Amino acid sequence: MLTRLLFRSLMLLAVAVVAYVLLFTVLFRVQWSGLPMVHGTSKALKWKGGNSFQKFQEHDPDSSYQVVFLGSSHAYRGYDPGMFTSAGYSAFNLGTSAQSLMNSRVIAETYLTSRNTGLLVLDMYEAAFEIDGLESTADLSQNIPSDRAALRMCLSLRDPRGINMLALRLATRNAPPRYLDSAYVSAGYSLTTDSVKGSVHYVVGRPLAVREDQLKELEKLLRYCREAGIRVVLVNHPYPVRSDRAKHEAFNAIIRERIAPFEVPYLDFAYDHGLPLDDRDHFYDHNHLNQAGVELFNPLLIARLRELGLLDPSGRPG
Amino acid sequence: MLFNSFEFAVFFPLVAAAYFLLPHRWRWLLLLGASYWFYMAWKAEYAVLLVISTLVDFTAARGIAKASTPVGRKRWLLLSVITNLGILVGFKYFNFLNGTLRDLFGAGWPIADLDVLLPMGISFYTFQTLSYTIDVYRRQLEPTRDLGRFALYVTFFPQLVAGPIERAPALLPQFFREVRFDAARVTRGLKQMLWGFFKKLVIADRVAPIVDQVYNHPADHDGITVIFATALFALQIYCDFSGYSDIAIGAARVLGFDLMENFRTPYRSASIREFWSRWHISLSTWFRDYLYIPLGGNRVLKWRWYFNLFVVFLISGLWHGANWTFVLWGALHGAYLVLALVFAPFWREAERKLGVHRIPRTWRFLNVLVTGLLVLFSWMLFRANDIGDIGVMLARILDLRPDPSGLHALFIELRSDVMIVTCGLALFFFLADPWADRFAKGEARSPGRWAEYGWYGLLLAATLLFGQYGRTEFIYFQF
Repeated sequence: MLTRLLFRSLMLLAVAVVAYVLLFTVLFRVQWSGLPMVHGTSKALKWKGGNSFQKFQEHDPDSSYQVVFLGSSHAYRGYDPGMFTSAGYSAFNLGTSAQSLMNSRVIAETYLTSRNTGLLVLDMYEAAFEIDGLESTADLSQNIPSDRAALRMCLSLRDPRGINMLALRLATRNAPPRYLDSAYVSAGYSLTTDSVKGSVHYVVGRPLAVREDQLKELEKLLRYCREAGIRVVLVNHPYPVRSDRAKHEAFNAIIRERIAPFEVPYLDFAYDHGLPLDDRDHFYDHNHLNQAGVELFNPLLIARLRELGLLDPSGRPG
Repeated sequence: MLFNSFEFAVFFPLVAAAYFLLPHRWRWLLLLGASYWFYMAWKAEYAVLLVISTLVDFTAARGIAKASTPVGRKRWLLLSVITNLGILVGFKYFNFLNGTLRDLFGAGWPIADLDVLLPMGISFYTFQTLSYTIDVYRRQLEPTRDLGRFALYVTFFPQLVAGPIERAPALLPQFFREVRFDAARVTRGLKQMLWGFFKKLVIADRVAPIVDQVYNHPADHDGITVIFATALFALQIYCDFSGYSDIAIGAARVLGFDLMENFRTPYRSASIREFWSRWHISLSTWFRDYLYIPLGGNRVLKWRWYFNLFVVFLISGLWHGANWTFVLWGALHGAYLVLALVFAPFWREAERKLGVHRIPRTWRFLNVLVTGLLVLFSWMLFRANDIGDIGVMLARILDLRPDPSGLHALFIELRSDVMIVTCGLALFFFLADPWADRFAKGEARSPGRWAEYGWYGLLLAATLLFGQYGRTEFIYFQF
């Protein structure tokens, strides 16, 4: 009786796979406004392209970088590898849109070793700890060159939409990117010169909703780095004065407790930086630095990393 | 725990496997533990309310059976009624009543609102346990001596938080019966679960953002868009709630239990009365047996009969939520039914003169259409965020200069490709439902094994490809 049930389940599964392939293929072939209709199945499907595509095409795992950045848009817009290079340190920014800690961990495990990474700078924007990683996995699953990394990210989601992302990756394997990011410069960095023009809504008073799974991913990432011999520093770039300081401090309390066993430095520049930053002139929205802000912040970060001995003043990792 | 969560995808197969591996005498304990786990995954401390309901109703029912005088029986019944309705009123209606009084007496009203979260499924399990003590009081049921199985009757996880609201005579004896593994039964249960997941994930959760967009900003949308969103809401609430019922009934069937049918293609009803015999059947019959009939039902004077009907629907509206919009919705359905009764003789005469018996199918179709429009209008009251919004939307609908570009703008705003796929799926569901619903319940004749594989394979693939998998709660959880 049980055998019959198992056999029928397998048969159903086989038919479902065929039906899925047929449905997906039809929707992939039918176009609407220049895009395959499969795009309309879910907002969680993204196309190959954008700065994530560009940076992973440029990134060479066989090259050695003295500094590598990971994190969300705060990372790839707030840490300019060009400025680090000018200061004597080769650098690459592997931050991507809404990158969750799970994504950061898989990227680190796939691409970073002690041979190619002198220092990992992990941006610690609290919103990255409040998300499920769906949006960033939709992006990375199409743009990261490693099939294994894409598979691991999609499976880590524990969400059936991960399968759709993998199907799309397979279907667009040999296709060119659909769009490119005009703000992309090089070495993984996207430059924004805009400053705040209109009114900006600073969200204050919304409760902190840090996810336990993301905290565990942070611990896994730090554990991997310790085992792989990669030095890590956690950094928060400056926030606008009018943003939610109380929420950030609540976040810091959680993070400091969780990272204590790993003994990694945590440099929090969110509100204590001593820089002459203006909420309108040095940010382009409610929480991202613009280039003017980056040009003030990055030299300060380099100086602090040198002070801590994480970067050698002569231009080598400390 | 939500049915549409990763946790349930792990929880249910484990519970089902353990259930069939355990000897019969331990199975109730496994199910009881699993049911509490299921509930406590949401908010552990509120399990205390389940324990209170269980202990009070178990004791009250035993007390009723042992009491030697009618007064003594009544006292035990009152204990059960006051406890259950007290919990319900305290957690669900206190702030609503308090807010209404504050509005009436002004800002100086001295009583503050309670800072409590509405316990999930409170309206369902309080009604279920209440029916048990009432049945015992009416001598329709012998009280059980088995506290463990009674606790399981109160908390049985497939139907704990959103029904069907089961009656003790139907469900309780099933917990004593030994269930053997039956592959055909398991298969039937899984098929119904799959149909439920399809309805919830592919239809209800896909149309929800469209409905929310319009109903959360009614002033920004024209009449056509409001009607479009209301039609989608009609599908959303049906698929959400009947989807939950299908998953609940299917899950129970896998474990060897039969739960009552809760929906029967209600949008194919040719009258409001028929609609209520097909929509949320377990609640309609509960109100019929424990409120409408005790009020006198239809065995009273005509005006009293109309009053009974109206009151039952008014309370049914309030059961759905502590908001005037629900009260208005219930009152509207009560009014529909009363008016149908008042005009029934004239209507029958009109039908006779028109000779509609010669075109029964066409006539039924027209009746289904009119009933659908009446129900659709009532859903607008149900979904509106407040009474003010209803006024805004009515004004938009009655505006004789509707602007189709509003609907176009909605498509653009919510991404036209996503909207087109969603509308296509909604249309597919609407056309397929009458057959698919009967098929999922095992009532339709099988079109053959391979056609069945094809249908369920397609459902599985479509659920995977089109499903919305955020952790969205079922609408009826809030009731």
